[in-house]
Amino acid sequence: MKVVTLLKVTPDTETKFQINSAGTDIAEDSSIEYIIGPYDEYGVEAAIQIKEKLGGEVISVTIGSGNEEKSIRKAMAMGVDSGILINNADLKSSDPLSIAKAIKEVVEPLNADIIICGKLATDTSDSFIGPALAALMNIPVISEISSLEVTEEGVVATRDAAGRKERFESKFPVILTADKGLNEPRYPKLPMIMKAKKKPLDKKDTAGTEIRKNVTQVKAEFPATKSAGKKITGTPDELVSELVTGLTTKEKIL
Amino acid sequence: MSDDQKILRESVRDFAASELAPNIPSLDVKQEFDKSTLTKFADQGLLGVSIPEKYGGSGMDYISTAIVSEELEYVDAALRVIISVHNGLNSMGLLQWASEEQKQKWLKPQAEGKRIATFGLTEPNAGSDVAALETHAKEDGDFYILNGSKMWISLADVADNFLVFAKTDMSKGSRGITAFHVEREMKGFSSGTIHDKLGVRSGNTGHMTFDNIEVPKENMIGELGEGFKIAMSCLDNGRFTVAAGALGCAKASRDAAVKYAHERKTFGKEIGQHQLVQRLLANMQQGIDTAELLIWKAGWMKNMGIRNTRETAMAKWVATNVASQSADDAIQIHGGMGIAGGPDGYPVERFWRNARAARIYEGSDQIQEIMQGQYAMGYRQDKPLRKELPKWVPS
Ligand SMILES: Cc1cc2nc3c(=O)[nH]c(=O)nc-3n(C[C@H](O)[C@H](O)[C@H](O)COP(=O)(O)OP(=O)(O)OC[C@H]3O[C@@H](n4cnc5c(N)ncnc54)[C@H](O)[C@@H]3O)c2cc1C
Repeated sequence: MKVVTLLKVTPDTETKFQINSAGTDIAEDSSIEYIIGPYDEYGVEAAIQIKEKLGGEVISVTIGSGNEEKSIRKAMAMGVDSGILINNADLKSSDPLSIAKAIKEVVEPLNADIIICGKLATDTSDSFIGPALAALMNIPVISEISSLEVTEEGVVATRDAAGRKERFESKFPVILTADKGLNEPRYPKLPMIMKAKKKPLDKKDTAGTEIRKNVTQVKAEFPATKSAGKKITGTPDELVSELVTGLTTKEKIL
Repeated sequence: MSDDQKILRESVRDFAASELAPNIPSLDVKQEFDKSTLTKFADQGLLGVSIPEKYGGSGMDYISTAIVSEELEYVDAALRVIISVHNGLNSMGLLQWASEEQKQKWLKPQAEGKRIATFGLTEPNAGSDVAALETHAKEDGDFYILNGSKMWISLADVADNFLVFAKTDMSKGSRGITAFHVEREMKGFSSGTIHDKLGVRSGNTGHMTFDNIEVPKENMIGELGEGFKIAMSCLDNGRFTVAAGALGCAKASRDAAVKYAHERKTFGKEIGQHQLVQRLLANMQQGIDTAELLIWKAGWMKNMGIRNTRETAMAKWVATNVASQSADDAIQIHGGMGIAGGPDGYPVERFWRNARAARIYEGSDQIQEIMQGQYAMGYRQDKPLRKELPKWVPS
């Protein structure tokens, strides 16, 4: 079984951002800790579990801009066999479609049975790459999966939709996007951390595809801090009348 | 930090937070050592961090052992103590002093986590004054006959392997001490647990008795009469882990205090807005940054193969006092809640209890102060040893 895992490196979700001096984006300074995108990490774990069950290899693919190697090595310490890193800041900040096309260029020749990535990257939250790649490669996609069964024949995956569980089956090749609950990513063991240093990481500065940037991020700002709300107390009747009065006269919403 | 060190920190932090931290408060209340912790450590590879791969370890640099110690004591000192005695005092001691054959036989299974090891120096009548120890080993054919008892030994009741220091010449003070590798299975070995300690309550601390144990001659570590030097160089490594652990305790105290200072309001504002509360936090940070630099300096020296007795001792002295003071100030910031511990309370009183003993073991505050005074005066100098801790060779 050949599994490709798309691995985006994102700022730690606990990072306290600063906005850059131009006010256009977050400041990329040394206070940011970069980690494997949390949903991509479910994908990495799933890929390794597939290899452990059925044999084969796991290859990670990353589009990056210079902060990625540690996280790729971490994925290797978890069990990924080799990695491909396209280091290109212009590509990384280009339109999602350009990124998906670049990934297609890298992934297609690998002839993977399964391509797995997170349902979204926590920095851009586009939920775009997995389905877009499926469209570009013309292969099936099952998105936001929370359980997965893989056999030699194909995959069975479930998705937690509103109020129900959906179950899908597909043959290979297939793209899967991972949701929370799919698994508990493992912590790398120490000997594996050292072995990861020696695993092959193919670094390139381009995928050879066109880079287009039709949309430009022009501003980033912190959400306005909310003022403390008002707490109302009393009997249900009193609560209703006070709430309605507040919403009509004070907040002028009704 | 190198990439491996960063991955290591993330990995140990996540491991400790999800696999170990949830049980600590109740284990602490019950004074219970959870043996499955050792299996988990072994499985993660934590029992051979800086031991070279050919001896069963992971071959990471010495600073990595500090990172592991720090992350574990961020959760609880009892977890770090395992690293101090198994990795620091015992295994790194063997790495430095044992013969090639001995390393293959004893160090390898320790680093692989198959045998748990500790360090038996202290006795009922000999703590700071090591030369006063009374355990003795008498030569008899192919054996040394070991008699005596040890006190305050971490993991005494759970370890398999013991680096034991005994007098082979009662007339000779520190030069009459020899080190031996002793195993629990040896006839005449017994051990017990000490209860009702102030801190490290989810850790095992105990005593052991040697009753006419026949220790094979090939179990002697180093040469006859070299035990005191061996014990002191083991302490260079043990203290390093104690210092790094204390840094973790100080950081945990700070983080708990900052969190509470955001939550608690008095006089119409977060208590963190009061300058006197900020002062306590500023002092904690001063200590944390200072201790961290001292630890990294000592670790760097170990990596480079430079003798570091003085620097490691300084790091241990400073860091354990920073931890003690930080935990104390964290309690102060928590007000009454600061002394409410247990599974439903706050962790800072546990940090405070844990931090206290570290100012006694592996060289008390006073011993540290005496050492640094003697170094300053030039009365104390570190002469080259017959065997030094090997410098770190990246694989
Ligand atoms: C939780 C815990 C775990 C431990 N684990 C281990 C272990 O795994 N292995 C091991 O071998 N030991 C271990 N110890 C023992 C520890 O190292 C000793 O307790 C320590 O060395 C102090 O010895 P002591 O208790 O005999 O105190 P003493 O040496 O009797 O000292 C009593 C007091 O006198 C002071 N003092 C002593 N000499 C001087 C002097 N010359 N000048 C000024 N003041 C002085 C000391 O600083 C101290 O305040 C552990 C102890 C504890 C509490």
